[in-house]
Amino acid sequence: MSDTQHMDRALARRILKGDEAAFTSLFDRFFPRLYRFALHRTGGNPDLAGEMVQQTFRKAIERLDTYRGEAALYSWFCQICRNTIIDWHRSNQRERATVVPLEDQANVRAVLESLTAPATDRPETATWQRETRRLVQATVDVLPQNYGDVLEWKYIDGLSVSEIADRLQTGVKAAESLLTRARSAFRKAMGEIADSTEAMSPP
Amino acid sequence: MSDNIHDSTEAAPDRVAELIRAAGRREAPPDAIYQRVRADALQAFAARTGRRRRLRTGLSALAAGVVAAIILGVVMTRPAAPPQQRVAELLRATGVVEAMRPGAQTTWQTLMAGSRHQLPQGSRLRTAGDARAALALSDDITLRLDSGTSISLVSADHVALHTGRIYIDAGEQAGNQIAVTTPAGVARDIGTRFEVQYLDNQLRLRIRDGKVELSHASDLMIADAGEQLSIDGTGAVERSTIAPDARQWQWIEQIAHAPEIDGRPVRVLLNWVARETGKTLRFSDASVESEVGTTLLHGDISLLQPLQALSVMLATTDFGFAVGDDGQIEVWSKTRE
Repeated sequence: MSDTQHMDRALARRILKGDEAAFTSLFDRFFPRLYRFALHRTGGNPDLAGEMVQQTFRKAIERLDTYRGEAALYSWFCQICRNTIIDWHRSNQRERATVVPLEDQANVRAVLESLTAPATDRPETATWQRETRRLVQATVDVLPQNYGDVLEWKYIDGLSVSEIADRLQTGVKAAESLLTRARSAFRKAMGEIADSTEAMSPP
Repeated sequence: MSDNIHDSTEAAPDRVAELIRAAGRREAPPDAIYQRVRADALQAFAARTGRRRRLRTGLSALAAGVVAAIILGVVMTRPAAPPQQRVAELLRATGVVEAMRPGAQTTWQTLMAGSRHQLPQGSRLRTAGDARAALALSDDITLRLDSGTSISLVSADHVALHTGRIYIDAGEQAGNQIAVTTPAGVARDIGTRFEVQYLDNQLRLRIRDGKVELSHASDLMIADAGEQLSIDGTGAVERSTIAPDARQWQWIEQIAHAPEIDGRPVRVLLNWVARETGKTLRFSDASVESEVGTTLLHGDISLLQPLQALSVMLATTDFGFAVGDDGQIEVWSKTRE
């Protein structure tokens, strides 16, 4: 069992004991990511995505005592959310979304290259690039702890390490270390996605 | 696909930065949806845990950024126990050990050794000079204070370490868990024995057994058995190793609380000594291992340190022992040497 899974089990125990602070911390960390996870799988419908995440939290809270740490807690929540959405589609006699998320597909290697390819006004490629951007964002979402936030602060907001340290209320060395771990985790996750697939060219 | 995504050198094109920038910022959920789902989730949490909570309204999680809620929330929102609820009992004290009851503000009371003093939630304790103290937080969890230490008993499973050094033995029952809050972070055990020191704005964890989760700023770290984890005032983290029977643990033995051994098997004493000293037991043969479970002791070892107690009590039996440099205590039969 990884360190993350150990911590997740400990967190689940605290929540089951009634630790409200632990629960609100988990909610604030998981909700934005789960919302984005659901949004893409519900045709971009914000209210429906919110409803799916609301049901996910209810189910997860009810079943939290069954969480054994086999996977990261966030992954466990994602699975509940995924099943909730599938059930909704079935009960509403709707077909599943025709756009299957890239991370749910097997072949994504070439999409990573297409992400930083020169822009084009071909709509097929634009769709591809949009989906690829979402894949990268989804990967950032599944990183542990606050790695995703740190990566956005650094590479999108352009914060310095010192500014990141101030935001986290920690020392510069600790912030550097966190950023290094976040980069490494992101690189590993994207690499695993790329390595597990066959090469595929964008349309 | 190029292999740049696997590059680990800064001189190569920074694919991580390129991908993050190209992907852009993740979309934030609408605040109205966040608030609605949060309120519903809190109600479900309250119903599930069977407690009535004051529902929080308020800060957008996105506006607040990453909040060290575990640190603040454990200290500030833990449910209040009925006043004067006992959360600890003094097991042993050497030197001047003082306690301040909740609400007493400035009145420190010296605790008498052997008094089995009951300490309510919110009590503060401090050890002056070369004093030390051992407390029972539950049937299975014990807490020891080294000299020059000041703590608050926030609850039966939460201690605030203001300064000094403490040692936690969370016992052997699965599910025991205790949190230690310091100004530099929060340590939580995952079934273990560990030491926390907070001095001069520096936090140090030593893990003898099990694992400890440490929350520091917005970071979470795990320290394993045999590890020492130090965080200095700048937030720099350093890891090193420490053996379970290293001499740095010896202060703990000086304030160890001995079990009752009168009428109990030698095995009880041996297990206690092994646990306190961090050593493992080795028996010369299977017969000895069996006999220590059936040979009964008589006497009182309450004021003795572990190895002293072992020496005194085994002298009354047919067993001999030796402490090796290999981290083991060997036990043999004197009649079969």
